Amino acid sequence: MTKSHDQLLELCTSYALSALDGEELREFEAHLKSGCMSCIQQVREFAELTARIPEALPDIAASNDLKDRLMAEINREPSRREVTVFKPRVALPPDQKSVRRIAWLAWACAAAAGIALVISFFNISRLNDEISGKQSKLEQQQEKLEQQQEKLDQLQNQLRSESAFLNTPELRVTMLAGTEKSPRSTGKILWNARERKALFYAANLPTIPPGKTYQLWIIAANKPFDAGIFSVDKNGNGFLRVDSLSEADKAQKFAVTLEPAGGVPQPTGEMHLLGSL
Amino acid sequence: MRKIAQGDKSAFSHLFDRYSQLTLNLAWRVLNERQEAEDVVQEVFMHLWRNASSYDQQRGSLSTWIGMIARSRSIDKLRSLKARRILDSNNEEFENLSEQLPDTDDSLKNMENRLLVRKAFGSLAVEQRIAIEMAYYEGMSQSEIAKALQEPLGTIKTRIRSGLMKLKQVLGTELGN
Repeated sequence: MTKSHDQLLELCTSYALSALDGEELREFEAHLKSGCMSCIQQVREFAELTARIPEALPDIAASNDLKDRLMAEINREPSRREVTVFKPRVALPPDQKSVRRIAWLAWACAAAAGIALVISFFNISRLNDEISGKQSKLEQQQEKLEQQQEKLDQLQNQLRSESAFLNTPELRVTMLAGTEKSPRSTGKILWNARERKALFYAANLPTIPPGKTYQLWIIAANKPFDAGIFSVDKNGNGFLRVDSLSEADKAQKFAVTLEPAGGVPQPTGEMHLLGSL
Repeated sequence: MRKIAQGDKSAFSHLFDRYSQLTLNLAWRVLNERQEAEDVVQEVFMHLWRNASSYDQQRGSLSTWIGMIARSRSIDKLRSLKARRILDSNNEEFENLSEQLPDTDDSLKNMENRLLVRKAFGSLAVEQRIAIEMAYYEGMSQSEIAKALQEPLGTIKTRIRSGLMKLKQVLGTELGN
């Protein structure tokens, strides 16, 4: 019996797990071959998901020489840059008489061949240059692509790490309000006292004058402790990631002041944001 | 993979460092034999070395590609050894997660991700997990699983589908997707 599209869509999970068989498998593969993009997309997504299943396994210690054995096998493989040398199958002995008879012809041929060789050489050389140029351009583009991929991976890692941090049960959120200096400014700090980590977001802060910076403070036991410096964009929005929040377990307040560039050990400037626990 | 396709052994060495542990874990889980599992790792990486140019980024991530090759080789070997076994439903490897942190050079991110996957897998109902693991590690089709567990085929289909949907949902949420 022919299945409806919804029924076929439901088979994507089993297909991605290679668990489909029989008539269903044939029907589903025929459906994929017909080019159904929603099913193809679903299969891809679930294939990516199922590929993560072994990540749940505990690590098994490998033999110490596993890699050495593999690399030795690789080294036994013929090099991929080996050049095949062409050799004529049969070496024919020269016939002396024939050589003499056609000597002039040989010279003429040699001269013609020489001219052709020179022309070919220039052509080949030009083509080689062209190919090298294109290859180098292609390699540059590939390098660029790899760099972008690396950047993307870094961003994804950061996003995952931040998401994991945001999902910790001990996460606390403290809101900061603008002081008289910046009544429109606001701030929010998401922090974990146990991990001593925090993510701080500020909005609508005034533009930073030259030679200055904003500095975040954690106030614990009535003393301010430096939590890092940050800048703001043209809209006054700023972000700071704190990986080692001092005295986090005794925190009472968070504050933001405007300080000399590079920050200071103790606050000296005007306070723009303040939030109590 | 481009560099490996050009014969760059240093890039290949990095690839091995990055994916061999996962490949070994998977092969060992399928075969339950260290030597056989290491043979699979060798086979998989020789295949990667010889066929690096056939990797197509458009068709999926590198880890998915390697995982598929490793799984397929492991299951082929399992079949050839005729050592199929049924998963122990009392498997407790998902308990005490913190005690099972891998002792490798994995980056913190990888460890976090692996913990997330374990957590997500641990959140599945036992029946869902068994059905998925039988398909994934034993290479069994849903009909074979139904027969082995003496359950209706429809029940197995539902367990696989709902299990994978839940995994997707939990991992999606955990990773902030």
